[in-house]
Amino acid sequence: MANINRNLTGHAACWFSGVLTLTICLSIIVFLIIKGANVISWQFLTENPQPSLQEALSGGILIPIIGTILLVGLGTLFAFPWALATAIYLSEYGGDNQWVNSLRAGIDVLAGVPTIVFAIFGLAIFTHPGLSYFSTMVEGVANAKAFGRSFLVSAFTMAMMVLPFVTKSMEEAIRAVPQTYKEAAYAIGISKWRTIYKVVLPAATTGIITGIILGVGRIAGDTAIVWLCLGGSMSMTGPQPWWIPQNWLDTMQNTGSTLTSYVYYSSPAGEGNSPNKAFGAGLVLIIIILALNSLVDYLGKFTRVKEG
Amino acid sequence: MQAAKNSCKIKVDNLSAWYGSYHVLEDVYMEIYPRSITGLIGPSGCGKSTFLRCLNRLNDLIKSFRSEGAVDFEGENIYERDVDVVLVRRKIGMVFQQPNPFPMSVYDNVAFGVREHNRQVKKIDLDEIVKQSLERANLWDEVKDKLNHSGLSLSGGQQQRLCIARVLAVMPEVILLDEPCSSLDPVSTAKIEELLLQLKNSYTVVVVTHNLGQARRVSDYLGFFLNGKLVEYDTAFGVINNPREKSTGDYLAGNFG
Repeated sequence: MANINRNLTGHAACWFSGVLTLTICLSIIVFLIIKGANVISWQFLTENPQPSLQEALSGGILIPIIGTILLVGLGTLFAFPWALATAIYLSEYGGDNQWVNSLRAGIDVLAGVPTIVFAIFGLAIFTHPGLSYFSTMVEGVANAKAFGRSFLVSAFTMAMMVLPFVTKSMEEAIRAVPQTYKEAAYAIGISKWRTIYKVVLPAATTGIITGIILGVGRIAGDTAIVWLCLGGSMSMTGPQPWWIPQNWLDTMQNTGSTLTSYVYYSSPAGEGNSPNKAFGAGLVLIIIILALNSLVDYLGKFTRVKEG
Repeated sequence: MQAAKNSCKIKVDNLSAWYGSYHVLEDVYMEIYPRSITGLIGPSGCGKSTFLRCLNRLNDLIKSFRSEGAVDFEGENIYERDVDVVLVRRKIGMVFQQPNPFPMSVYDNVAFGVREHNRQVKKIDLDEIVKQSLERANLWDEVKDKLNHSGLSLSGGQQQRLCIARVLAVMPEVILLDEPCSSLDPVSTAKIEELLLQLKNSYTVVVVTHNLGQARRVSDYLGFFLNGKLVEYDTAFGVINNPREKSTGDYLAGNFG
């Protein structure tokens, strides 16, 4: 009887925790929908933000949406090869020695660093005049100095920030490939690198994609790095129009806006006076991230079915 | 017998091997002859699989593995420093205990090695190699209409023959098989045994087996391993009918195993 009681208590505690987590998650989403859904309209999504303290005149969120997509794209572009190469090294070449263990420890530490620290680090590095290619030069100051804020700088800093998570997820995927596949390839005279490239990586594709999407979600949701390394603009600050191909490089070397920085700069808690639009932008961001998470889930299920 | 001895394909000379400090093979001497089937028998843990994996240096994958002695393949020690292991494995192919086709189509499973070794191979030549290899593995008739299906969709016995076809496609000279039938049903086993007897006309075949009946049915030469030592090695007829060592006789009689 005592046993059953203990079981019941355990059950109830677990059940309660689960429900609590779910409730918090749902409350945030429901709260955002209640507060933000009414401002979402075609106009809101397709107009640029306007600098105004009157909410009715403050425009839409087109530029922040594009900024988010641009930053996610660039950040992933930097993070993907970097993380994949690290994951391949750790799982296939590194083995188990002092150097690899310190590398692993380093990655774990990196995973625990707050993103504001990454942001300051990125800013400190990229204001070095030798790295002005990634942003622009500050004009009219005595000591040569780069601006240190741009899409390229933010993307690189984002890549550093997501590296540990993406690497770990990819390493797990690569490790999960059965040893028998590798043996089979070696046994017909395939070299180690070709085995990794042609047998191991294809077999790990789904896991690798999951890693990428994990990184994408984190980049889309981060604010601190955007705040310090992309700056406080609501528009693209490069030469206009920013979207013509001749100006692409300049656009990336200059600053812009994302949904997270928009939320900050338009809410009264931050620097603006458009609370409803901040909620609207937050809702759009959550929808984008949820869509990405569902994609991960879908890909995961897809693999299980294929293997089963 | 004497003539065959002079032209042995692989000569294993005083081979010893360790996993860490565990001594798995002790001073093994064996000559393996071309166009014949050499069977390796012995109780679990006797070192026969380790021995087999020494013949194409697949043990290199295990970190704690260490060996001494020589494995001469056509007169050259494959454990020399400057030997290209990848090239050695191309000539000495291997089939494993569990069928392990790649997660690719039947066609690609067979074509993979060929493509890797000759990147410029023409589609028409590749088609021919795939067909021939599958025919030699007695699998062509069963899969010719589903070359695009996943290799993993085949039955266990078919998968094992696919693995053999995959090895045949890269045209090795020696084929090593590590208990190739241990996970198969009797019908599939009979098919593989029949296939082995065909293969020995063109290849040197070495097969580790747990199944004494199988050893009797297919082997020309038979080696009996016990506790890391090659206790007895002779023609299969000699070992089975006239074992020199008492332990061999006991094992064959089923007194232990």
